[in-house]
Amino acid sequence: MAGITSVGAYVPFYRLGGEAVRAVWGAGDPKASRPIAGFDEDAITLGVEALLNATEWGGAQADALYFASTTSPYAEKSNAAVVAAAADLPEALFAADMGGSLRAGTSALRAALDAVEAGSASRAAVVAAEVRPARAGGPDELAFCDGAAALLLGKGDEVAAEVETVHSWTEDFIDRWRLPGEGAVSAGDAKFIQDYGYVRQTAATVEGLLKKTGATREDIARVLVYAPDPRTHAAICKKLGFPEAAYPERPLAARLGDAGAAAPLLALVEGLQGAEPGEHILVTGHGSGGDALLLRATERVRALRAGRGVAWSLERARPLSHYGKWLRFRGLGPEEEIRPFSSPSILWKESRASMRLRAGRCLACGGVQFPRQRVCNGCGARDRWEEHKLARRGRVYTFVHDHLPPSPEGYVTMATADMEGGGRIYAQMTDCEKKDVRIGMEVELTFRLLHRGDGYYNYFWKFRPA
Amino acid sequence: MTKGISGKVAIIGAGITKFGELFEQSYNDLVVEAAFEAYQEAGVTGDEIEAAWLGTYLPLGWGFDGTGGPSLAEALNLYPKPVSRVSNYCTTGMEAVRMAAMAVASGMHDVVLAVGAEKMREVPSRRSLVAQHVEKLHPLYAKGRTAPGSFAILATRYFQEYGAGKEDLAEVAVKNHYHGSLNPKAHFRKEITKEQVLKAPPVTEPLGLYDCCPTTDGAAAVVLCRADLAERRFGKKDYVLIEGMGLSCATGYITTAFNPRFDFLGFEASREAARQAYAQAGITRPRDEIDVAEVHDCFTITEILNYEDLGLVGRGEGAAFVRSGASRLGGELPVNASGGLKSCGHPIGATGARVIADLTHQLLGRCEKRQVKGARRALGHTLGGPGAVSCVFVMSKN
Repeated sequence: MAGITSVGAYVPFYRLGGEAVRAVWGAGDPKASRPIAGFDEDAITLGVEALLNATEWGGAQADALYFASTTSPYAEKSNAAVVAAAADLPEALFAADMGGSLRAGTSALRAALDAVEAGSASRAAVVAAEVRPARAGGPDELAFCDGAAALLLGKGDEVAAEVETVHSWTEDFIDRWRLPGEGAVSAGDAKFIQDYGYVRQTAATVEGLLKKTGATREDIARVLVYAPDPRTHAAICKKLGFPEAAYPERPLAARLGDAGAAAPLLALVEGLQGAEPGEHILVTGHGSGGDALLLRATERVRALRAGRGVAWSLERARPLSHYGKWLRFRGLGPEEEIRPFSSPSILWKESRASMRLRAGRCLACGGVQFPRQRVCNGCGARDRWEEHKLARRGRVYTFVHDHLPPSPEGYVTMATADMEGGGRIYAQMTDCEKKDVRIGMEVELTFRLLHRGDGYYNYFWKFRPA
Repeated sequence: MTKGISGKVAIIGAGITKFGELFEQSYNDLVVEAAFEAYQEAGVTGDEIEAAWLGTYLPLGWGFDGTGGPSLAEALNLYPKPVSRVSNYCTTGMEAVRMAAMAVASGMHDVVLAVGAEKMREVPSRRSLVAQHVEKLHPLYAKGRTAPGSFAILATRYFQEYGAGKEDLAEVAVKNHYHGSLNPKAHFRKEITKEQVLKAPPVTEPLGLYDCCPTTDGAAAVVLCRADLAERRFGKKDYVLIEGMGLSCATGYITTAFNPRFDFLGFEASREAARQAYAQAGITRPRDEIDVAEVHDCFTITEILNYEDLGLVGRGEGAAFVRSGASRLGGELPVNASGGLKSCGHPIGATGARVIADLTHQLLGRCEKRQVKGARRALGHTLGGPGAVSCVFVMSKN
């Protein structure tokens, strides 16, 4: 039976606080604190971070990748392929983009399970990632949440949570929607969509699953239903009628907000990382009906706690110092027109270095060079090198805070760091304050959007405090 | 190593335009002004020039002039002679002189012209070097790097290693602005105080506004000839001899900061170029044997590092050297009596030529208020890349 072998999650560190929103617009829950992606993050980079948290650096093995998002950076080009390159997956890979509905996360999970079960994939990665389209001053500003979750699926001894039963139910329904080009999500009448949409449809999906399985409500230890907000969540839970203890005391919708297609998988990652062997876990995704999956934690489930998940992300919360930063992060102010040079052929021919961080280790002198040169800059040997993947972690050797390059932060921190195991890299630092940066500090590499030169997304690595 | 160039090539005339934001002048205007001032001082006409070298760093970066040898030939009507353009980052102007000197020393030509020129202010300042760094170069590597950033990153390490600070950098700025106030050709001609430097807005921390040279237009030119012809053919009783020239490429351009062998405390290129020049000139104790120096102070930290790389003081002693007043006019070894890049500005291709021209005038006693009395031996240094390439000249009075 196919199931989950590894999990990871990434919730961006910045927090937009209710107080800041209230100060500008006069309304907003002052206690709210919503995770928002930084200016150099998008659904692809969030997805990469989550997948890296589920896999080993440089050792990721998968032959299928399902990338689910309603906010994919590209409308027409593989987003999954970018994620695969940055996560260093093998090239013999089935890579699918799935979107269109917030149910895409669980849809991707179902599709991946089927592939593993059928044998067309031996190990599948499912990544759901969202940078939600919240409009400044709009009703979703404090309701939406950015984040990503990743699951690796396989068969056999490695499985930490088997998927026992799945059920899906589909009924076209207009509750929330967004047309291409629109920057915000529209919603129907709140009472109608709650009662007839979220509550009724989730109940139908769950009922259908329960009929299929021999399990009763009492058998299921954790019930993780998708809901856009805490009130809807409470209404769904009441209708479903599980014991109170099965529901999370404070669902993610209450603690973080609505993470869209990533929400069910984020909840599942968090649930699995707290599960004990033998527990049954029910998770739903929603969108014109929905998907429900029933999992059973195996003896291996405790091994999932090692991965970086929701708790790890939440520990690193950084409140935005003021509302204006949120506007700058979303590019809602006057920005300098910057058009860096780029070229698809350059990006392609160098991708093993720039995406997969393959430096060169000279076989003559042993020096690690990045970017690698054919003629070793240490000893002059020509074409005598082997690939060496840079480690993720390193120490800062020196740095500056430069106010000249355009940046939503007002300055760019450039640092040179020596990476564990060899190699030195000079790059931007992100997710830190000036006061946090010092010579000798430990940093790790994070995948970020660098710029949009030549009209497409140019991704690269930056440092962040480790 | 052979004695190289020593004593074979003379500089018999030099010209420098006003440096500044010269909106009324074109690139060609600057070239003409500098070249003819050099011709006049040398006592030659354009007809006598046998070959010429043009140093302009990045003509298509902010304009269109200076793309090749014909740019200079056209401005000065050097048709149909051999004219070449050279480019080697911030050593460009000095490199043009070096090429010209090698041609004379080889016996190929008797009298030649070297011009350095750069017209940076036909575009807004931000559209010149800042835009170059952000918009050009590699799509991914070193994005966020700027010219000040490439030097400030050494300041961070230098401060930590040697306990220096912004106050030491400020000493360089104050000194060079004072020197600039004595130089009618400088871009900036006002003295500043240490407080002004320390309070200035940050550019690339720890460098602030007054730690950085401005964006400037300008040109300079020198006429060189075979040393034995300086008096015999051109009637010069007083002239300058090139005693040594060095050039070193010691690291890559954007990859300097990726180099695991780089200690961020100085530049090997400067050290090696100086070693070459000193060896040809027979200099073993530069601090004692040099009377006047122009070094590459694109940023205040760079001057401090240059003192060390050029062997004037030991490693880590640069800050103390400027604090002591030794490098100020009237001190033991005046450095950048012209005001340096800090006050003259840094029209990139012109700077190296201006350094040679300024030192020529120092050795010939023509610097008036900023004259270093009795100067007989001069040291000129430029550094580009940053850190990738450096050029060093040692010159003396005949």
